[in-house]
Amino acid sequence: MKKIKIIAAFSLLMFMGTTSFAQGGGLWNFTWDIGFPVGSTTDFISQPSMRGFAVEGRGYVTDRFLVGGRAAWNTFYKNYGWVTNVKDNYAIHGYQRKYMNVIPLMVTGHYEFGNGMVLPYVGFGLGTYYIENRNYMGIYYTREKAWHFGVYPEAGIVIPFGSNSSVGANINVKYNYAAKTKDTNAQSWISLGIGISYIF
Amino acid sequence: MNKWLINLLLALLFPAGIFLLDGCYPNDNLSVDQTDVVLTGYYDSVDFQTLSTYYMPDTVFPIRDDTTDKTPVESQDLILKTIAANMASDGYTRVFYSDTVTHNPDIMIAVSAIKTTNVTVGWWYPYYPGWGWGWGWGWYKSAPADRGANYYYGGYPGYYPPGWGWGGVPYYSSYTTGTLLMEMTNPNDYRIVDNDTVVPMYWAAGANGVLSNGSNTSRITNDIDQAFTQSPYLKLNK
Repeated sequence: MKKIKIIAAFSLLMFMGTTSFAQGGGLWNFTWDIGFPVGSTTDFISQPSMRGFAVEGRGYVTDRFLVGGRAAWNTFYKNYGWVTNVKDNYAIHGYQRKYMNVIPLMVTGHYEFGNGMVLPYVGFGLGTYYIENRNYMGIYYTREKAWHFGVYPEAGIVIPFGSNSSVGANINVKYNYAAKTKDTNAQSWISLGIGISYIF
Repeated sequence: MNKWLINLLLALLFPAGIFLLDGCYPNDNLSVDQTDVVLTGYYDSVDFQTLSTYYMPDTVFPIRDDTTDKTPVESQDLILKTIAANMASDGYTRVFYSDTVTHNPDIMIAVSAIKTTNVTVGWWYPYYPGWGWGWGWGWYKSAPADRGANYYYGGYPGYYPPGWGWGGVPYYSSYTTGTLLMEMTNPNDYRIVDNDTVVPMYWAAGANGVLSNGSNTSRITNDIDQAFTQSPYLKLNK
């Protein structure tokens, strides 16, 4: 876990450092991410996650097109309570909890529409998701962890707080897809981001 | 907005991000009884309906490093009584030692117990001064030499003294688990494999949990009852 924190923190620093040098301005997004598992992810955890945080920096390369980077952390969790799982000739009974921790590290591209008071946009992210799943019975757990190649399409909107304000509200929706690896399944979830944009 | 304010906010994001990143295992504090795990397995080639009598020693065998320690296992009588009650409920008749002279039991149940103390000693680096007390979940890889490297223990909160400065502080944490093993075999059903006499296990059950300093008796009976509840194939149709 310490290694993960170091990687994520370094990525945050990296994005802060590089995107702040973008020519022609850009924006910073700080959002609270709510995750809704879909697809095969619901086989592991189906419960939505209220625990997510994302930092993103984008720079204008043209009047409408931005590129940047994004780092985030989402935690999916479900407490199943006392369960008895049976498989073949074996049965195990215990207090079960499941966790899925996801760290997306992505490069992003976005296209903005609109002018002035409302700035809708569409975009995508391309990069990697570090995903660690833990299945606990009592104090014992099995763990799967892997770096997945991942993409997400995104649609969102930035609403500045005033005509001359450089700060605004940001709401976005993403479909996150982390491809399967040799040892782990693909994961997918929809995330709703609500936060603040700083336009510079 | 002033540039210095923006830089301050961005700078605060760094520790805030670290703080939030730490919250990755929510609601992970367990009571001792929530640590209990019961595992059972059976040999699917056995027709349990052909069995009816069993022998069980009047001793729970302790598995200890000190083999000279003959102290009875704690709650031994309760353990054996609970197993006997469940076997009777499933339709089995217990054969005692004196009876085995005239009547061979169909199966034998051996009960043993292991107590393991897990100790972790490490070095904790606080990320910034003053955040020294209890991040609480203490997940660490504890790999005692006798278990191998792939055995993970979820840990209980350790004792973390305040981190004054960046130097790091040592921490120590330990907890004790108890494991009860019940093994059912038929001594008359044996085979020779590579010149070794092998007796297949007809049914085995293990109950494991963190031991509390108080009474563990209700957990013992609950776990033994659960082992039989999740083994419906043992029940005789009489």
